[in-house]
Amino acid sequence: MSKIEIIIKREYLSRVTKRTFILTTIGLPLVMIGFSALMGYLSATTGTKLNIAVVDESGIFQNNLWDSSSTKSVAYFNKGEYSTLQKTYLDKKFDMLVHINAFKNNLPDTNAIQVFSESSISGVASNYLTDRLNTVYQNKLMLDAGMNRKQIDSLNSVTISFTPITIDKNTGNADMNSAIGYFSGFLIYIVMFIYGMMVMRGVMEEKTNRIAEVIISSVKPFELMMGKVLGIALVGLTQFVLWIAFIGIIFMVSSTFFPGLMPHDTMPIGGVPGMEAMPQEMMKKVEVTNKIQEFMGMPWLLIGFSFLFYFIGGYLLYASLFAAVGSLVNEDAQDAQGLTFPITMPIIAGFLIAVQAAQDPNSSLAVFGSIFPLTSPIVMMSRIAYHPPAWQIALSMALLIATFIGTIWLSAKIYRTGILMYGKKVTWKEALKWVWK
Amino acid sequence: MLQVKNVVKKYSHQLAVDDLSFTIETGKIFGLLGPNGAGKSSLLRMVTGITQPDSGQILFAGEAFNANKHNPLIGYMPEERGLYKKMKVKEQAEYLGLLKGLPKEKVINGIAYWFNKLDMHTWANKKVEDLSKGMSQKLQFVTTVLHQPKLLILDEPFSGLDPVNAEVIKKEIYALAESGTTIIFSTHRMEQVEEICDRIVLMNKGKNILEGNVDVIKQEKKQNQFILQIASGELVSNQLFSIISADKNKYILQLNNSATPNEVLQYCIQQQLQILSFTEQLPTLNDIFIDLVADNATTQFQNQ
Repeated sequence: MSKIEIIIKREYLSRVTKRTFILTTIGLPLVMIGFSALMGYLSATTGTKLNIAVVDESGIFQNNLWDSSSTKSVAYFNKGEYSTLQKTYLDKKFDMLVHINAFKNNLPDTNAIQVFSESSISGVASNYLTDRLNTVYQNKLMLDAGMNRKQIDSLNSVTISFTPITIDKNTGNADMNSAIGYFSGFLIYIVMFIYGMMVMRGVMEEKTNRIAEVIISSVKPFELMMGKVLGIALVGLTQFVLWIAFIGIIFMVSSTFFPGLMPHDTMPIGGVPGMEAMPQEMMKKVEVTNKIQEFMGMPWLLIGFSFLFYFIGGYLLYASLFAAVGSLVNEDAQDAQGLTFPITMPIIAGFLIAVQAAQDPNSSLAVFGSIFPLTSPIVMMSRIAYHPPAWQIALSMALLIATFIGTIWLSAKIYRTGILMYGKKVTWKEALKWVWK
Repeated sequence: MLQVKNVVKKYSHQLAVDDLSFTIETGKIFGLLGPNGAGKSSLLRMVTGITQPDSGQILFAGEAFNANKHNPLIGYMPEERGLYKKMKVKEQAEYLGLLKGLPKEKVINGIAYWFNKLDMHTWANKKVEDLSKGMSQKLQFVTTVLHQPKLLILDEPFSGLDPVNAEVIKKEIYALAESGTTIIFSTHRMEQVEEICDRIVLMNKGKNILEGNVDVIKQEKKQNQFILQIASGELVSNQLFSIISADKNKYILQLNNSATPNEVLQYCIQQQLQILSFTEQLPTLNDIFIDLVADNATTQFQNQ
């Protein structure tokens, strides 16, 4: 085994056998799955129960403004009860009172309908109310115009959507693309911070422990630095592989035991005859099915390869810089904050660009950010699902490789001097002088 | 074994090693002496290949120093030393042994040998952070000698060691020298050097200001002073000697240029003094060093 392999092995094993590594590797997916399950459960079962009182003086909405359901109970009152209700609706356990005046000239003005409540009503309730008022009133107008019930119902069930057709067959749905963009951009961002900081702390530990000089008398400083950088890269990859495997297992187990959770197993997909007649609930399920189909149809090979490439490239670029910072820090851990600032800046800038790029992948800022090597690992990942032109990917990758070779070279020069400097606070300016010495 | 020829090392603001030359013979314990900041550690970093001299040459066994070739032959215990706190004692020794390029089997045998010899078996599986200072110094020593270096460099090896453990390590240092290991012993503690070393180089401000055999140096630098202890009576300065200090019946005498010890003793007998002992006082290295740098007012020598 070469010396660098011995170092990689120690750096790797000393971290993956730590209790915290095992806990985060197993714990994080569990927490994430548990959290989303809880969210789903809560939103499906609860919701505030609304008691609504309605006084309709216009006679248009009569008793069909709302039906009672699990989330609301609706009571309709006569015109005469309005003045007392206005004072007592809260005492009678109503959350809101909807008062509809008679429409002047058959046209509702803004004062025609008033909603009373103790505090402002929720967005959901407000949207629903607006929607129902409009639908019922439109139906009335259509009836007045001489249409029959059946015609009106068929009109109401019409929803139009479009099928996007692009030259590149792999380009998927925009929502899906931007979701993948956010997610992978965010992941790379987190990776660079977590593992970059891990490298920095490792180097600081060796320096403040005073073991660095002992080791450097046996191996070259470059070997010690790269051993640590590569060892921690393997820790990161291991964690990812375990996460993916773990999530895969959970996915498989849950689809075996709870097939209902996996709509694509049970639902017919696409172009079903008579779909326009499907109840709304059914429509939603089909939508979910389409989502899953789209999800499966994403260019995963490209995304997976790019993720691996930008993970490794971005990590090498920043981890080596973090190693250089670690070698400059003395006992005072606060020094580290000031020194890491110039490194964390471009990472954060990259993330901000990535958030925009996930929505608007072809803006000039997004294109620049995905080629500029200090931000490309994050920004290109947020664009990758949109299939950016090949020349941009190639240029971005080539620049990233050239840059991480450069930062490793630069960091090695700083590192070999910094790691042996005790007791003196070093600035970036001084450290950069060592490079050209 | 090791030749240092006109070596110069400059750091941004200061000249750490200034045209330094000396030679170390095989199998000897060589003392590298000097106050803090004299350039000892800078020199040792060059000898171990951690840094390169700006000019000058270092020869290892007659060849130009080559880190890849000669590093495995050197054991270096730096002044600023430490261990991985979270690692177990045995793992730590193994790791450092492997990094020296030793095959695994030899590392394991070496650890067994040394742990046995220094009574470390009982805590081989403890974490380093749970060790006492003495224990971790022992471990540090073992990791330095595990690969049977031809040249062993110890920078302040006894700092922080209690007398018992210092004695244990000292014994091992002698044994290694006996078996042919060349040892460089760097310290600012002059009294330790007098006891241990055959030859010394005295460094100040990056320069070699004195070199040679410890006994020879002392003889050369002696100032004709004698310690006289008498049972009773009174002694006064005269034409033979002057009294430097008197503590009860113990006198330190400075003999005049022409006077001999015999004349002094004769005088004392004539005075009918009961002589208990009469010995020559050789200067300590500390005295010699202070004497040598006395004209240099800026030298701050700390003998702690």
